[in-house]
Amino acid sequence: MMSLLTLNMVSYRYDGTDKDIFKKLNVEFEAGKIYAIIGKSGVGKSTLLSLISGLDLATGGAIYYKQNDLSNLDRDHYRANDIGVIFQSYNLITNMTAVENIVLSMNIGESDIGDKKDFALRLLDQVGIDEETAKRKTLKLSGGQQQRVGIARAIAHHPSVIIADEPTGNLDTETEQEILEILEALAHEEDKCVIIVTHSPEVASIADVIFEMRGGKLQVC
Amino acid sequence: MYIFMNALKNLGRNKGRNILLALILLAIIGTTVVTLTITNTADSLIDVHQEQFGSRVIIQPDIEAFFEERQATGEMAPIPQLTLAETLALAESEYIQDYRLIVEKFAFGEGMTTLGEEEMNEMLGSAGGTIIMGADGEMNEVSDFVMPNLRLIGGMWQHAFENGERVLYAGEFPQAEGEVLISLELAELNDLAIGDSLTLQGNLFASEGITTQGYQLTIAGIYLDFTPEGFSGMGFIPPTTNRRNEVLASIDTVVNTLGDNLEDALGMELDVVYYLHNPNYLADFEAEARAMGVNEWLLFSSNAADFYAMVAPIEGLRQVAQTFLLVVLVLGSVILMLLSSIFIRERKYEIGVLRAMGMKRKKVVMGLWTEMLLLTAICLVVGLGIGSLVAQPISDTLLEAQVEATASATDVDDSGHMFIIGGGVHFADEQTPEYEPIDQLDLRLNGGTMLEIVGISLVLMTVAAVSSTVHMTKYEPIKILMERD
Ligand SMILES: Nc1ncnc2c1ncn2[C@@H]1O[C@H](COP(=O)(O)OP(=O)(O)OP(=O)(O)O)[C@@H](O)[C@H]1O
Ligand SMILES: [Mg+2]
Repeated sequence: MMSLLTLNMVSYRYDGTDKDIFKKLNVEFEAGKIYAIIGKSGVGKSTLLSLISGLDLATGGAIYYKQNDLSNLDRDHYRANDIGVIFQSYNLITNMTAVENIVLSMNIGESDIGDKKDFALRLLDQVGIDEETAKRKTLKLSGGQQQRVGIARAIAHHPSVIIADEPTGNLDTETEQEILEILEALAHEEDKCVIIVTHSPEVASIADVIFEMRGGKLQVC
Repeated sequence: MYIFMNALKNLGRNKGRNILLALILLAIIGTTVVTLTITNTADSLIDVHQEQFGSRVIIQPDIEAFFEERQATGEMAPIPQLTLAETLALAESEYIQDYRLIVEKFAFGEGMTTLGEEEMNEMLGSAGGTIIMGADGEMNEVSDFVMPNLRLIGGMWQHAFENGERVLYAGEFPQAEGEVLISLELAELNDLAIGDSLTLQGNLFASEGITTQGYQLTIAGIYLDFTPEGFSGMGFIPPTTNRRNEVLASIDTVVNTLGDNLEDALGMELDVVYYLHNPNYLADFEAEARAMGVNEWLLFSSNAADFYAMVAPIEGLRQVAQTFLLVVLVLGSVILMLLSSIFIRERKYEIGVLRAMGMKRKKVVMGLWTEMLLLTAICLVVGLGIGSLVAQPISDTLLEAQVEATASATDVDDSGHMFIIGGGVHFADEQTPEYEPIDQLDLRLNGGTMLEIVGISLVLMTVAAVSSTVHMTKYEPIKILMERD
């Protein structure tokens, strides 16, 4: 099967530091699979995700999305249409309601869905946010609720890659289970490529492939 | 479209910030409305007055200084005057809107009796020859000197006919050279009718002394004269002063029969008043005249001081308004700039999220500009409303203060000259009436002012928008989002 995302000799070093966070990574991610990336805090998991999501560029090597080098792609368009990111810290616009956050994301992705608001409400309902909560400013939502809104936003524009940074870090086990079911369904039923960074063994357990990041390398466990 | 809608909603989402921005914008726009309306209305009022005022310029010799110098040097020289050529050339000046010119000559009507002549002769007796001081300063006894008994007047004497002081009684106004208009009294006294000839004689200075020159004129019309009789301490009006003895003709008639050498033409006088397009042109006009070689003893004066006194309160008000506007604009822009750049820092995270979600930088900037534009538009409408409501009372209060301030400060130099030679005596009744300082300004918010206000608002909006988006290029979404972690 052809890989959706290919990392070819990818290295990264933060500006003003003299050490590569990771060196010459070679990984392939395919559609329809769940990947888990585990590793100690500070090893560079979030950094890797920011490269994959086109928020930053590798300092060495290249990342290909459908054979296209990300460094040559319109990465705004890539982020708006092809990839959905569930951030470790949610990154919702706090003075907007949950619905508004999702509709805005759909608008940015130039989604052709007619009634975006209705679609957003249904999507939020799927991740366990009722209408009353959906119409509240996200600042006034709990951590878990914000996390769910973040998930809904990440999938609202039907991206082919979904990236999640500690998606269940703030959730109780019951909610964690619900979220994991959603992610599993996205990969196995909707053929998305799901990449999850996690410390949680439960989360890792649903993955088709588990990588461990250590010493600047990714190793399959 | 969604960018517009989002911007609109963002106005409400960032209520606190936007209310503060709006208050500042409102203060600036409101001030702009008030001050610009005042400035522009004052400007056009001053313009209108400038045109109506038509500032009169009078050119007179500095007689006192001239006599002083003559006494000091013992030199004899005729009193300086403008030449006719200079007068006509100056009338063509671009600074001149209009002018009034009269050339007149004392003359003797041969075989005629004029009003007051008999009384005059009786008073003088048969004095025989007359002693006349020539241009060379020599006293000459001349036997062929003629005692003038009337005045031949050329130029713009029509004014008296326009204001009803004189009425054409018979015939028509002189058209061709050599045609004249005489008063009914003079015609009746001498049994003259239209078409009859008159022979006038004038005295001329010449190298060989005084000579007389006669010339024949034809009566084209007769006028009725209602001008005031005039006053004389002698119990009668001397013939050369009696206005019913005025023989009216064209300038050409007067000049061509005598030549334009006024210095040589005894008893010839040129009286001119110029009207400037704008009271401020006096210095330029005088410079032009000096360059032309106009006699240095001639002083140029205008009644511009009256004009300045009249518009002083308005001008003061205009300056106050303008200064205030400038201060508010500069201060306001600085405050706006500071606030916008502070506020955008507070919204950095929001921008990071938008960029992370794939919104192009251009669209983020567009959204922020749209927000500023909407806010400005709202403030503009409200500011125009409030501004135009309070403008008049504010203007009235300020103007009142200006009227008081200028009333004590202005002291129009109206001393003028002791001797009036030339200097528009013929047009004295045409003089602009006494002007009171303007103490009322009815504000008008016209299209031009409106456009200026909109323009200033747009500039303010741009100032705010630029200062909030200029640093946007530095906002890499990944950095913003990581800063927050
Ligand atoms: N802007 C930066 N400049 C320099 N170093 C950075 C910068 N951002 C992160 N780092 C460093 O890079 C390393 C990797 O950070 P990253 O956030 O990717 O870790 P992580 O694996 O996601 O950790 P965690 O599990 O705690 O989320 C860390 O040591 C961090 O201190
Ligand atoms: Mg991390």
